[in-house]
Amino acid sequence: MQTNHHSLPLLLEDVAYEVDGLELIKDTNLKINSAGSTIILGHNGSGKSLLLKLLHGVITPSSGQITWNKNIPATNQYWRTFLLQRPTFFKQTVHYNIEFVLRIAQIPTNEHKTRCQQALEICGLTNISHQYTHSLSGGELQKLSLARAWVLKPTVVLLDEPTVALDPPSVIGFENIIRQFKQSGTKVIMTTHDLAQAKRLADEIVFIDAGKVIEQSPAEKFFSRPRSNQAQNFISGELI
Amino acid sequence: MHDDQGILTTAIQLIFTLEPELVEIVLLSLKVSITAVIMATLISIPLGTLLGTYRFRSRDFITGIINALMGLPPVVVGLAFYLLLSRSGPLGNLELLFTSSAMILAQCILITPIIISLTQQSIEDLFKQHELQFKALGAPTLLTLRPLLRDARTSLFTAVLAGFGRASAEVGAVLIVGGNINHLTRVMTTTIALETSKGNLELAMALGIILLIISFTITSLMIVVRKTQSV
Repeated sequence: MQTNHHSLPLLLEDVAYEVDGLELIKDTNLKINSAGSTIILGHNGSGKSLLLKLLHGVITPSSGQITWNKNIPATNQYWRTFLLQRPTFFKQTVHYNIEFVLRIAQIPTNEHKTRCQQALEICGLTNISHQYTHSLSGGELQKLSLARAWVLKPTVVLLDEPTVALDPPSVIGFENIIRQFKQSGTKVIMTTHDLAQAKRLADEIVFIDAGKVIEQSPAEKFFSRPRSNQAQNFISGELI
Repeated sequence: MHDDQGILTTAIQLIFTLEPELVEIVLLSLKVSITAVIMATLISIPLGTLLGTYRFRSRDFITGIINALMGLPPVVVGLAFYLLLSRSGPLGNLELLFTSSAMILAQCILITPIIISLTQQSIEDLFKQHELQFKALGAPTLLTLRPLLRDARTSLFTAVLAGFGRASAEVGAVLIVGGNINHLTRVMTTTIALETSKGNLELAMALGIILLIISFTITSLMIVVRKTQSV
């Protein structure tokens, strides 16, 4: 599914990332140019989180190049948000943590109230907006992380295994919010090792194994006819 | 031979009757220590925050110096200030020697490294905890300082209390730069030293009890503040 999404295409050319001589991401070439959601799938330790950090610029590649649509100014990165697997928050209210993001992105103050209200509503946090973060559950904190992303109205949202520590009802609630991101036109790029979740959410799958992108294909095709042995093993292993 | 019980009884009487000399000494001590703490806090919180959040080339060197200064011998500070402020010294024309201002300056120098170091530690721990998140959010360090300081406020309050504890118990430096002049620079610690040497143990004991009460109050406050933080 090609798109006119103005943040795309995302291009990775010969990207590698190494620490102390150990190559953790190897010789990666990837082009993401489809709207909807791209799920980066792979085992624990396959390099999914590192790849996401590289995409957001939290870490820089040892070699190669990563470019988002070059029309977007590199200095303003608030069109793209990144949800960490273990997000951290100030020991302040839910509202304060959301508004903080607006302040750093230098969004005009007169927009803060409306944007915060929208984000709180979408993420189901309106009733606890004045609660302090230390009194929130894990699910509520992840929703707050999403609200912090939503409030910036990003064109791309990157999520690093956001539901890994959540119970099933919280996972469902969280996935519904991700669907709303998609519906609003935001490109979703998310890592997971949960095959069922990938099936529920993915329009496109990027399969990564041992730091190398093995396969990239539409979700339906990936799950019915995976091309690589690694992907076949991963899928069959997950289904046992 | 001293009558210990008699000394204690008289000391308690001095406290409860608010004996004017004792009140004057306590108030001057508090004025000196509180002013020194306020000055040290104004210097230390920004400096500690800077060292706790920004990485720059000489950061480790500065941190090392500050840590070393935490163990400064008070009498050496007193001597240095004496030489600086004496008539023939470079700051002699300020005429600060044997004034409460000199005592404030000496106490300030002694406690500033303590407050800086404790502030740096608290802010650095907090900053490290959030560092990846700040990168992910694209948050410039400068804009994270206000919420970080708010989150660290109980630790910072503890640091200030630790500074006050050190200042109020200080004797060597204030004795040298203050001169222990009656009605002018005589504070609790220097009075205890003087009155004990004179054998006037009642006043020394009364001041000792007040110092202990201040010390226990500070320790209790620290415990309460830490508990508040952990809730």
